[in-house]
Amino acid sequence: MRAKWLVMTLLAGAVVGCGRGHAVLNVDLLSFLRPSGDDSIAYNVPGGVTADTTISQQFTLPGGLANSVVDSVLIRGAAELANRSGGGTVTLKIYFAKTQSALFSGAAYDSASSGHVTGLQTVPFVLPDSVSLNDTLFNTRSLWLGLRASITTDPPLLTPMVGTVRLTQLQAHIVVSDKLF
Amino acid sequence: MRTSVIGIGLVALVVGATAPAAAQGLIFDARRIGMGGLTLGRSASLVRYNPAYRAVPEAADRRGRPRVTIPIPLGIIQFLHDHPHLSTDPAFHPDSAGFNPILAVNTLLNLPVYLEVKKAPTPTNDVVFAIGRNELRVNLGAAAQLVPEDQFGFGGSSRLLDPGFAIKGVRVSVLGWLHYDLGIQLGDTLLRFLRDSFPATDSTGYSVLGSGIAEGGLAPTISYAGRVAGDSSTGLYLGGALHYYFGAAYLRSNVTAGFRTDSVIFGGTNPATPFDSGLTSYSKAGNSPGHGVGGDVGIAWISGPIELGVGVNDIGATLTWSDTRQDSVFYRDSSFSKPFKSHVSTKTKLPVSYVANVTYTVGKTTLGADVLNAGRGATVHVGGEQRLGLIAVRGGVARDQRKRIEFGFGGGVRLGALGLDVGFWTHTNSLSNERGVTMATSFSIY
Repeated sequence: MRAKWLVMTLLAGAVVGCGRGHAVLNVDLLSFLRPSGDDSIAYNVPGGVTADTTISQQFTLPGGLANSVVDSVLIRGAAELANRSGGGTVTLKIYFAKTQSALFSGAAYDSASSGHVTGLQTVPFVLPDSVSLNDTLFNTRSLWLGLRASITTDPPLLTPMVGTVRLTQLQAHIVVSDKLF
Repeated sequence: MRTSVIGIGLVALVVGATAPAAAQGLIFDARRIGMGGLTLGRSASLVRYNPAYRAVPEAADRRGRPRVTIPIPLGIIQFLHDHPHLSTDPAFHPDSAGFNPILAVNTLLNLPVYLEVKKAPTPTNDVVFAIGRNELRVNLGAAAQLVPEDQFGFGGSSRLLDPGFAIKGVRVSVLGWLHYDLGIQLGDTLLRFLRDSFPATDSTGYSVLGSGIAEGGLAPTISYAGRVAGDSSTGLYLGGALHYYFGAAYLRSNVTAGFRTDSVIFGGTNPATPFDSGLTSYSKAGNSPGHGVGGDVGIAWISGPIELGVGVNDIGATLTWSDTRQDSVFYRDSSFSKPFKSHVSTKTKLPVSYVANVTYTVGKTTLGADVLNAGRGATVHVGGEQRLGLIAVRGGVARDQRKRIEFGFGGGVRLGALGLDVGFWTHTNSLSNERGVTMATSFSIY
């Protein structure tokens, strides 16, 4: 997402009228991931092992945010696990970082586990709302979003766990003080 | 990008702001402010817009009015106290992270001459954006009411000087004149987007339509003002003026500017492409001057305590500019202009302005009303003054160009040749839908 547009919308909106109020951005992150297929993580993991599968995407945030105080960031997500064969547990984690190299090294913003599944089974799971107050991560121009699916499969080795984790909701609710200039 | 965004932001500010700026004008007399902006007698608007008043005897105009009024700019002290380091104050510097456009524009719209005893509250609601790959929607909340639906702007005509000589009511003079007008209107799509929280759509233009003109020059004038009936206590006065306008220079521009959304609003690297297009016509000083003829008429009737007057200015004042250059303006990564036509003939028209007034004086009470249209909508003032010995109390009501009702009240004390006046006036000269209250103070010399 080359989000220079955010600069425009934020500043125009703030200028027009928010005074000392806040700018609230409800960003449908999923809509940006879906066209490139990055809303889904397919897995095919041999039995009895633990493996991670990740995807990442860079977002360019408005320059105005760098001058702003990000009061809070709320991440709300939901996913669906469509397991086709094998058994195990899938844990989905959501990361944000200022650099790609730091993306998966810190603590996850949000995570949820599918619980144990086996065979042909579809399991929806909801990520708990994640709230970050006085957030300094989003106070930047460039931000990376990462998804990690940690898959722990049931043995035996030759019975792989196959399926797909698909995000069904991923929204960011960003509250910004109006020092957008 | 940042620069252009700030530009758009400032345009947005102007959107909500210039109308109130022109709504009431700038008045330096606390007495007038105390009467809701009402003009009494020969001061301010009447002589300017009604040529008959040149013949009305000064004695009929006194009614306890001062010869000189000196404003006491307490607002400047307040402003400098709040912003002691103005040149480095980040709130007024667009490049600063602390730049506060609301404060900057409000300061321009509501010049801190007088003390602001109640600041008009700026909407402080949150502004909510809904953003998706092909979605953009903004909810300005209460602030959306500041987005004007109609064309707005400011403008008018001024007469800067008028030196001349008069013989028996006939006066020959050379008038310096200036005409300026700026009008801006949001396009339908941008208006819906900002005011009605309508979702942005892809491949759609969002624009502001702007038009402006500035012209000035000299006008050799022959005028007449005299009493055609009655005497000094009861009389009918007529006035008229014929101007031959020489235009020294002018500039007129009509531009559409805005941005066009991408085929998927946020699907690519360039979600909003700026555009502008328009035509600018101008005749520089030194080119062949503009020519035109126009006139003023006025009538005033004085009958004891009653005074009535009507004046109309710049009737038929159309100027022909025979040596105009026209440039087209457009956007290609940045704004450009290129010559379109040269040495073409164009016309401009000065706005017809008018004033009508009535004053009634009985004893130490003066009541009055006036309607003034200086080229961009009429303002109405109704007010009065009651003198009680050394003290005067005043009150008034006005309807400004935004058709909003404003209220004024105040008083004064006079000690011999000196007087001190205080006036309070509500105003909407801010980025707000609510009124502020200004307290004006001035000295008067009688």
